[in-house]
Amino acid sequence: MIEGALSDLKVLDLGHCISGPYCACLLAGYGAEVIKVEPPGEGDPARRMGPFLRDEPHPERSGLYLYLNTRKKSVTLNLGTTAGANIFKQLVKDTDVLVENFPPRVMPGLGLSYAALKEINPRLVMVSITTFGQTGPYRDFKSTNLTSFAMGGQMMITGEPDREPLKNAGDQAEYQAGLYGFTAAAIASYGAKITGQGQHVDVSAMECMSSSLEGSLPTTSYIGGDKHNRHRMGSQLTAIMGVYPCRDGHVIVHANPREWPKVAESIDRPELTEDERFSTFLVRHEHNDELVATIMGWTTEHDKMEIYDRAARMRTPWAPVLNTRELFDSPQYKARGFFVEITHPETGPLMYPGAPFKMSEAPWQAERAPLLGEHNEEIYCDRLGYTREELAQLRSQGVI
Amino acid sequence: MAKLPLEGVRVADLTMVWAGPYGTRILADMGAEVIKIESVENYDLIRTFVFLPSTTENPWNKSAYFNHYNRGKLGVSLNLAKPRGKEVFKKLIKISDVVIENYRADVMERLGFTYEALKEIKPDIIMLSMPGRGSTGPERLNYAYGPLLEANAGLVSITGYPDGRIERTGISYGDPIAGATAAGAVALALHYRRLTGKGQFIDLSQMECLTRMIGEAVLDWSMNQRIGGLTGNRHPYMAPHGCYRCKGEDKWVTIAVQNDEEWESFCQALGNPQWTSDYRFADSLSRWQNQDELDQHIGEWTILRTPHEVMYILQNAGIAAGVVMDHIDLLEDAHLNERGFWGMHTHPQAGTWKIEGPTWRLSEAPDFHWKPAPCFGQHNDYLFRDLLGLSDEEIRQLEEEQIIGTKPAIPQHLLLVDDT
Repeated sequence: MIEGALSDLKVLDLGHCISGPYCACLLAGYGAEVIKVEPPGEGDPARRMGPFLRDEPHPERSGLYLYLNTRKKSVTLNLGTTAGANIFKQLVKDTDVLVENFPPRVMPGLGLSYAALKEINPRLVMVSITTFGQTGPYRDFKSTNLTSFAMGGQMMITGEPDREPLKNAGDQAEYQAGLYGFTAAAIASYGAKITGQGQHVDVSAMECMSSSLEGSLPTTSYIGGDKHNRHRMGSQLTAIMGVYPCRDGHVIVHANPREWPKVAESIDRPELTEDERFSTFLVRHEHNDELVATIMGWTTEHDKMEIYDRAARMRTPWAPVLNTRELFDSPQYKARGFFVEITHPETGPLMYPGAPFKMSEAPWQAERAPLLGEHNEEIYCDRLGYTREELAQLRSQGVI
Repeated sequence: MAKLPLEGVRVADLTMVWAGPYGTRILADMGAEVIKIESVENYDLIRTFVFLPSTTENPWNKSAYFNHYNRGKLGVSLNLAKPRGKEVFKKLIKISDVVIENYRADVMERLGFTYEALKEIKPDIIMLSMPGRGSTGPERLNYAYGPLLEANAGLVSITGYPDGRIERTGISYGDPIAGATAAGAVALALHYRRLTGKGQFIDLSQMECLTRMIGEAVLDWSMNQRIGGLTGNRHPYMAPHGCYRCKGEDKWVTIAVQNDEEWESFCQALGNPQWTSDYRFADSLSRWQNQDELDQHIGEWTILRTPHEVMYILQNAGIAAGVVMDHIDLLEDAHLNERGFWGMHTHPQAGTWKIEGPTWRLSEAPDFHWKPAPCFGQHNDYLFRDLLGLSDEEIRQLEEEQIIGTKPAIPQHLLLVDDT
């Protein structure tokens, strides 16, 4: 029985931290065999990053690592050694997709450029995920999630207009890069299966983010800068598109100008649509502060789920600002069984976000992340034919 | 000539606005034949975002928002609500590989085009539905604008300034996330079909895609019963790490110093000013603890320079520094232009202007074959006559009944124009 959509896909994951590993974990969840190649000793740097179980730093108890590496196998390998590089090339022979997110000079520096690997396996799809891409003036620039998010354009328009632009939740630049890497890998590997033709896929986080600036960048490009350079929206730049405090937290309303009557109705003030301060888009803009105060006067008297339930009944555009604890109480997430329990020898059972989409014939497979080097024997001995003595030697030599 | 990965795949694209079309654009860029279906009554709302004078001819073909995200697709006008329109649609399904839609969760049902129904017509059809909250569940019919979903998904609760001001992302963030995921999901279904000959139904919830983007925060609750706070531009352990004002109006740069070595280079790049030898900044932990003072000193340096100057000075010293790019910065950016990310492309009615290329590069298919976004109903003839083999008489009748057309019925007051 075919288990997952990618059950005949073999993936080598050289990813570290977030973007590469996220790409590979999505492939793993849908059935691919993903062999994660980690440096001997410490492994993926994500193992050193929190949050840790009980705030006790431990390489097998990092919530970041555990989440990003579900259903993968782990081998340790020092690509900087000749033996390590050779073992890697043996693995590449039988690999459909290679995922990596090193700075562009690294793989060629190890003798493992696409050109070199293509000789070994012409079907190989190598997905290289970076902030700036494999070429160009910024190619060797350093970056972190913050600077990448800034360079991609989404930061300038996030936050309050009268203060510094704001990074959004967590590490979205890194996650976006990984997500686009997944889609590129899924598509390019499909092509490779059909035609036998591999690819080097160059995924640049900056380009992914620059492609997703909604209507404002396209309009700026088409009509001109002065007319359409967009400002940060902030919480209440527009009263009917904002985050509001409510009695037990926050809610958000998001209505386009035509839906203003719905908002008025939703706060039990339908007559406001006739109010000369609020009756048209232009005057609402002039009296924005007053409208904000009016809406806030209502929200602060109600709880978030009350507001949300009302909005569902009345069909008005409100939503609760839920925190991670409240996600588990979400009736929608419960009904859809979105969260899944995964048990790991070092943590016991924990709840994880589940599938990003539900495939009717080939469901998401949630399995635990591997221990460091857990599959060395399986891969090196059973698959590549090294003896256990040789494995011990390679270990002592610092190759694995 | 190099083949694109999805050549030969035909997609019946019912998606509208941003999330769905963003995904189907990726499919089109990768070689799929994407047939975008609108109707005279049910046109893509994004066509109304025009911002040109109201006297403009055929304004619905001149929305930059529409023309960017719908490039590479064919456009037809077919009314699926009418019985004869449904018959024509069924003929299209028979020769399609994928159907993708992002209507409200009950619409396809009402139109009579559930997955079961489509499967009767083409047994191995792949159908992807992407309503904001998923196809099932008690909230599936709730309003599903991107910012609402971002709040429902947990992201807004950990986006904000440290003084407590909560924010949402400045774009409808769920849309591109869902769109990019959807394109990947279609590829996965194609993989599965290759292995088994079977199609399937894919139920994609924007909300669920979004929560997956903060997985470690969910794990922190699961492991430690801890809810994240608002950390602004700060980092759990890196300092300096923030956004600093530069010379000019609303100009900013981001800087992230990752370790002691980089801190030494950073100080040197600033000319080793006196304040850097303050004991409060001597090691990584104390730098993190004294961030307020640290940021103040750094701000006094950046304010005298443009964001690009700061970026180049610090990058030359091996420090992660990035301009907070606005639209003009991006369109004129040296790196993006040299990589050929922006190209001057021509649309038959809207003209020629700078538009982005594909979201990633393929080494074996490096040339981007530009195809403009479709004018409304532009490819009616291709679909109805060439692909489906309808006769002239049949087509004429469909036109008469307004089941197919070449002009969307957009009320004048709904067009977002600019008469200033």
